[in-house]
Amino acid sequence: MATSNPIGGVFWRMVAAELRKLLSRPSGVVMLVISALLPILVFALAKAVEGGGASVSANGQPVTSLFSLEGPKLLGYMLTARNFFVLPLFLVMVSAQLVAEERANFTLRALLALPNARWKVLLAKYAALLTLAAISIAGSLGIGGPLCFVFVEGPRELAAWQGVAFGWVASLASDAGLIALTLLISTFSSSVAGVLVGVILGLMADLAIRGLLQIAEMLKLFPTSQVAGLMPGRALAAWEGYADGWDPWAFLGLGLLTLGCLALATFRFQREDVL
Amino acid sequence: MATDLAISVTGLTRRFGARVAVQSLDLSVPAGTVYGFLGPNGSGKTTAIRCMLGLLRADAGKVSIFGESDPVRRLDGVGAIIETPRFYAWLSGRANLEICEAYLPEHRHGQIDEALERVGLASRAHDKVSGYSLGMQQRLGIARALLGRPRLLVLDEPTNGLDPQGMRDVRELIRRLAQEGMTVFISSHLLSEIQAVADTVGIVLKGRRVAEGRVSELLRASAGDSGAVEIELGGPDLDAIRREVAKLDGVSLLPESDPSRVLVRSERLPASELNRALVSQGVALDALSVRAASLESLFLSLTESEEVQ
Repeated sequence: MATSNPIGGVFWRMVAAELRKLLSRPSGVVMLVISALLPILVFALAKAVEGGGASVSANGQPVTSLFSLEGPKLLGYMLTARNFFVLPLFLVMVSAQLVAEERANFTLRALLALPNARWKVLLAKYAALLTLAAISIAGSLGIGGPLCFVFVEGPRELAAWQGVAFGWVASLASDAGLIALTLLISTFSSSVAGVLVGVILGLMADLAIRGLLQIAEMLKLFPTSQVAGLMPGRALAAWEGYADGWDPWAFLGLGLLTLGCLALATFRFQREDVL
Repeated sequence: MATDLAISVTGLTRRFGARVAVQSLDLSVPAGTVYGFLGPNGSGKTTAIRCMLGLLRADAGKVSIFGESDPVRRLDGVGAIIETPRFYAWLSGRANLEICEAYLPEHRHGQIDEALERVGLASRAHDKVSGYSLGMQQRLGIARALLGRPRLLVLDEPTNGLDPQGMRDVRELIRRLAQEGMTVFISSHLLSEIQAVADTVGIVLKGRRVAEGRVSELLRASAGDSGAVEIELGGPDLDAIRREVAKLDGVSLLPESDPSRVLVRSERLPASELNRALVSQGVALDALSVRAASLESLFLSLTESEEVQ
């Protein structure tokens, strides 16, 4: 007898199958390798600056006096490096491959001709992508964390690490939003390049709107900081709060962005004609 | 009774903008039969199949499979190939089937080896699909459709890209599956292929069904109650044959694509009488053969009458 649980065993097997596809492709593997190498690179750079920085001056001061190389701070730099452009770009690319590319090369057709609701298929892809993002974060943190804790001077008490640790968790939430946004754009485009351009254009438009909001704020037309916090670009950078202070509006925006994009993507996917 | 039908399609309509691809299509596919779905290119066959499988939304009409009309539940127990099957080229044939199996309910798991064996791909199962020929990909597509022992197999142009041996293998596989009780719905433009395996056919033209029934009944109806036959004649003077045939009562000339032959339709005269009549008029014949009633001639006559309309 069929199970009444809509997210049953079949769903988790679907997630595993999607993850298997992701991990068997060069793009997925390269993403994980970069995730592992980035903290090592940041650590090596920091050590190089620390070693030779005393003899290098900036504005008449030794470079080492401009930043402090403490464990939690270096882990924060690693997080910033992780979320700067390259890995988010990979995440957008692999997300587009699971929907837009599969539509373009007709492999999606075979999956949708099987007895599963389409929302479940899309959700399985989303869960697999989120798992890949979690593996990427765990990889970076798993390598970067011990490097910073063991080989870098600084506080050892837990409280000093809490902020940056939450930053890494928030980074997964940001990835969840970025994947949802990419899946939504993938329902409009049948090419990975098209989705990449769509995401980049969307975020550029967001930047422009936030600029206009800032001008409006400066001209005291109306208070715009909360609205700006809800905008996708700011919401996707909610993880940055570990350094600048947490912005609840950005997290609210991230939640709205993720759920809104997922709902819209599901609606469009459900109604899509598959050729 | 509804469950005697594997597929029941009523009033299915699908438009693409102003173009009507499928128009009020009705189909009844009896369970346990091999059903041939025929039509020229662009007649709406693939669109109709996609609507049945829920890949395209129908503008109107109802589809039920084994009595189930829910768009998701009706696919339980269906295996399908739609046009050229596509795969994850960087994975092996077996891995592709494993991914597909993950999407099936648990009670339909555990048939990958059997499916690969059936299509003769067991020895190449661990090779990457990117190294497969078109024919091998077609066979892997059939293996994928067979996963979970479906009750209904939908095959859209399954012999595309296959060599003659591969086509014969598919034909034999379809016969074996039908003997095991599986309903096979096969769409093809290769009429001889369909005639070789199908018990029942449905013919569509311009998105509408123009004929449906058992092959033997349709052919009998096509020949007419008089038992008219088509006879192919050849000889050194084809004009003389045409002249004399025109004088015979109940015998008419038909258009023939082969310029070295004359094709006639004889309502009353059997072939032997026609031969005697022509020879008695001094017309030499070096070839005379009665054309077996075929789906091709039925199909062409339906197509021609549709074009006249």
